[in-house]
Amino acid sequence: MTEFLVEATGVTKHFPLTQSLTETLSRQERRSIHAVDGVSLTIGRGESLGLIGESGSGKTTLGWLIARLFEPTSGTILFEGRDISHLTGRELRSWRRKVQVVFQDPVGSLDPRMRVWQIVGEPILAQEKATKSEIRARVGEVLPSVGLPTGSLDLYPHEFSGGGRQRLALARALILRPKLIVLDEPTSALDVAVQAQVLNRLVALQEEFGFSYLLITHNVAAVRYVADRVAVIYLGKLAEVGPVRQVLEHPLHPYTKALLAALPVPEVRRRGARYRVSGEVPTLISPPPGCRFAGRCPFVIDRCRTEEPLLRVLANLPDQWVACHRVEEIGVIPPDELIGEAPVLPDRPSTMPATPSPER
Amino acid sequence: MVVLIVSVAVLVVLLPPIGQALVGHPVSILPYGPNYYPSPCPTRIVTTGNYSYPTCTLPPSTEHLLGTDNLGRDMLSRVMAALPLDLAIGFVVTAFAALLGGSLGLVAGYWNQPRTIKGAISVAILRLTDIFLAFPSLVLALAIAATLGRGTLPTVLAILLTWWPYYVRLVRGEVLVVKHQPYVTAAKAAGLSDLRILIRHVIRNILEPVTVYYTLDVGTVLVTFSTISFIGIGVPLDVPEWGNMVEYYQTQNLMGIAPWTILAAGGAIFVTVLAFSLLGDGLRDVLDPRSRRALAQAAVPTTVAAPAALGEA
Amino acid sequence: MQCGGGPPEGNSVTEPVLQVEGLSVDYEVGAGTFHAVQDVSFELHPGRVLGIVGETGCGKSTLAHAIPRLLQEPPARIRRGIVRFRGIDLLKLPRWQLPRVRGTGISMVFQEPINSLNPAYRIYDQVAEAIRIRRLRESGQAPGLVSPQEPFDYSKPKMPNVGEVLLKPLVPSKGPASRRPMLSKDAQDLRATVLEYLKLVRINDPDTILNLYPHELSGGMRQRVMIAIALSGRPSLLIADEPTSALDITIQAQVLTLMKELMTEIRTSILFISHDLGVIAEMADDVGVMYAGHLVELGPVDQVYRDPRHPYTKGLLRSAPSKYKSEGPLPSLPGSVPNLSRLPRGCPFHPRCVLAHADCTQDPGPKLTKAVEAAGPEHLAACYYSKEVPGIP
Repeated sequence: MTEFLVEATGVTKHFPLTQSLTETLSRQERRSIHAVDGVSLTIGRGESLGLIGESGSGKTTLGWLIARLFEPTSGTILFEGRDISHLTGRELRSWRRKVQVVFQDPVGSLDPRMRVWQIVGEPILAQEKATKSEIRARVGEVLPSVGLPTGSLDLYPHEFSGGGRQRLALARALILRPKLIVLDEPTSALDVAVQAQVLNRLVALQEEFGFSYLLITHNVAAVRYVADRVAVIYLGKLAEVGPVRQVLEHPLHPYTKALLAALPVPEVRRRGARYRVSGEVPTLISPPPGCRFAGRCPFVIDRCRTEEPLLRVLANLPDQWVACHRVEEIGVIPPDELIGEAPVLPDRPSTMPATPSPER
Repeated sequence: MVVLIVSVAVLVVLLPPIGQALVGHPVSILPYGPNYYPSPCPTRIVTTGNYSYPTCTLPPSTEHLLGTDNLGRDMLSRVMAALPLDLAIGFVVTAFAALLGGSLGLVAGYWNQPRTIKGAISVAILRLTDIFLAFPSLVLALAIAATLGRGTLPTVLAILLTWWPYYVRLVRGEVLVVKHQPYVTAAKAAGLSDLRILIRHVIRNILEPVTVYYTLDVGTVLVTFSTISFIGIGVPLDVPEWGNMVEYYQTQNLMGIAPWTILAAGGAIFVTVLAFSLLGDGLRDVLDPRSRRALAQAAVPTTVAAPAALGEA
Repeated sequence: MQCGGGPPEGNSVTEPVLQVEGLSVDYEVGAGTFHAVQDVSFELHPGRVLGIVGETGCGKSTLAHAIPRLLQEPPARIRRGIVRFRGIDLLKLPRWQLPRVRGTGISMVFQEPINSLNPAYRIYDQVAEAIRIRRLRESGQAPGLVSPQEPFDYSKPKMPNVGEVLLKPLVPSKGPASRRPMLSKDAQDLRATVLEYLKLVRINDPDTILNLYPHELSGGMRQRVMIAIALSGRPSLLIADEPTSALDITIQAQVLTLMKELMTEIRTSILFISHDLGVIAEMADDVGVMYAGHLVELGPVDQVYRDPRHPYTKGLLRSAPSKYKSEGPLPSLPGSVPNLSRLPRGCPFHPRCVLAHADCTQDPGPKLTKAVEAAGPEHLAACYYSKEVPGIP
């Protein structure tokens, strides 16, 4: 019995760029986008792994790699002990029933010209031989699990709201009872109140059916709620991996700290806050050596620019992996340090008309 | 609104040939067939300069709504009789061109992975299409028709060979767009094979723009067909067809003394093509929810709540 | 209405920069009439920041676009209301005078900078255009509203007849201002000003940026350029419609910090629209909460956040995730946002409200009334039972 559901080792994905004629003639090495570089992680059975990163971090690419929507450039991906890195054709297609994906765009991922039962029943069509009535019956069974009425079988996607469409995508993902569901930004297109409903439902479904989730998002709070472990990814490399509570409350990597410090909090004491991390996200094309975060890290030293830090554990925290040279010194600095306080703002009274205080 | 007017117009135009198809013999509003002429034909005298002579061309009257031609044949019947042929040509030839070009376009759009055999086939199709597209369509059609000789079938073939490339380009473009839509990726993730994705998703989603283009194209094909006949290459003279009618009357120099002959035939082409143009426009506005909704939504800077708020709680 | 409680820098009573009274906007689309904004009233005083917060579809974007009349009038229709900007009723202004108010009077920053910047022009051209327009108007050569002559001091008495400024240039000109050739000295001066504004928004290498096209910049840079363009007109009012929603988290924090610093240096009044309660908490002095087109709560931001007096605000604050929250299922509001073309009778929130009583379903619904009986700035809520809101768990 294999230990992990998913075991990715050294997974790399480079997207080659087209070369101009002069570049080809001068025999320059073809440049490529290093979307994911040497990422290793595991997902256990029934476990939820959150993958946090901003745009361009490679999180979606990594998710798609694990779902084998394309092949890794190098590295291996094991699923239940079996190497799926280079499966093709019929083998790949029949393996697909074990891993399903909920995509980011609830509008685009549902064919606007197909009805609910056709969309949600599509995986059945792909993997099994079933008649139309069988498919309809099974779709009808799965719809209540995502909170949709059974009678919506014949509706079109545009008749649902954003949250409803996301539920349809979720229903489609779980109709074959996969082992792993990859969720790519399931909450980005939704309002705060609807997000809460969807996240609650994800947790409930996991309790009922025992799925593993790979939750790819930039929504830190969603990860905190749904995931058991979290991996933070920046520019194609993992910065930090560990139990979710631990990483979010005591982040060790400077990027994790920067990310957490940047989250807007609905508390007014942040009015004077000044975010201290500057710099733009550099390009993924032929990245420079050394730590990927070196350009923006407030704690950077020379070593960071030349030598790439590897994921390692600290002695006293055996389940939290960090890729930073200086973690022993700076690990304990809380994220709030990255929010400097400005000098006190001149008092800016309200724009609201005031009630005069009652005469005494 | 436009669609309504256009559909009525098209219906009126289509009625006689439908009736003819149903009944089995030429039906016309007046009791004259297209090739019938009384002999001798009632004449009138025209005077040009110092010279006057009798002619069988009669101007429009209550008896002959569009007048008669130089043999005394009723113009209206002639025009109506040509209708089924011209319409059929328009529809059928365009449909064949669409199917041929469309299939090639599907292949070219779907199989475009570089450095594979499939990719090479796509590239070959595209280059072939480019070659054909380099010729102006009318000139090419004329050239082919001239080579193949006179007759209906050669003309049809000529148009077919000229028209298919446009559909390749159209369909390929649409396929490329659909291919990258998230719902196609989702279908792939569910384990659908490429062929099934093609049938289930791609074809369903490209049908609309292709249909609209097709409708607009029918008019153009019609004009081309008539032009080829007009030049003298296409349909032989004894088959009633608007193009060759115009040609015949023009060679008889009837423009001066009996303009209604040429105008009736030419006008029929004009009206039919216009009807199809309007129909295609109307179809596009009605059928393509994307363009309509996109236009409406661009004016609204926010989201307007969906008609049914399904999916919450 | 007067601004009491300590006027800025000890100046006397000031006129509000923006007064909105009873604004109602509908969209007439084939599917029905959507009441996007219903009877919204508020004031914005000079140098203050008013945040408008609400979920998708609550009408805040429509409100933001309606004020400078950027809505496409069909399908949108401003049914009624008064929008008074520095004393001019923008809704009654003839359409051809509106562009003269924009840019230098009211300026806007939108959500997606890639859409608001012209992809065919370099950054220099786009910033320079805004500056040129402002200069022409300030020197009187082109008609248009400008900020009062001493920059950003709104305590001075009103300019002579603001309305006239919109009609004709103050200085008799020799021809259309745009056709006059630009002297090289003017061009150098313009370039220096453009650089100055780019440095104002903390762009590190403005000389390089000048020659780039918008698609060559990152999202954060583009938004900074947008802010530079908006500020270079020295507007009295800046409307920011979700300016950071499309940006990454760390970049958003940077841009918000930038805006906060700019607010201390340049006291333009800002109308800040966002769906993110945290962003509003950081940026705004006062906050207005919108739901289904209605303004349901209005007050100073710390007060509203600490002591919300409308059930919707309370529900929203509770379901907003914060990393300091405790465990357990995420609280969420039951039900969903109503269809804007079929709003419920009375209070629009009553189908989802725990405090709903019979009178909540009667037309007309509750209006904004004072919710807190205490001295100090007013805290208004549109709820008959606002006193019971603190009691909701």
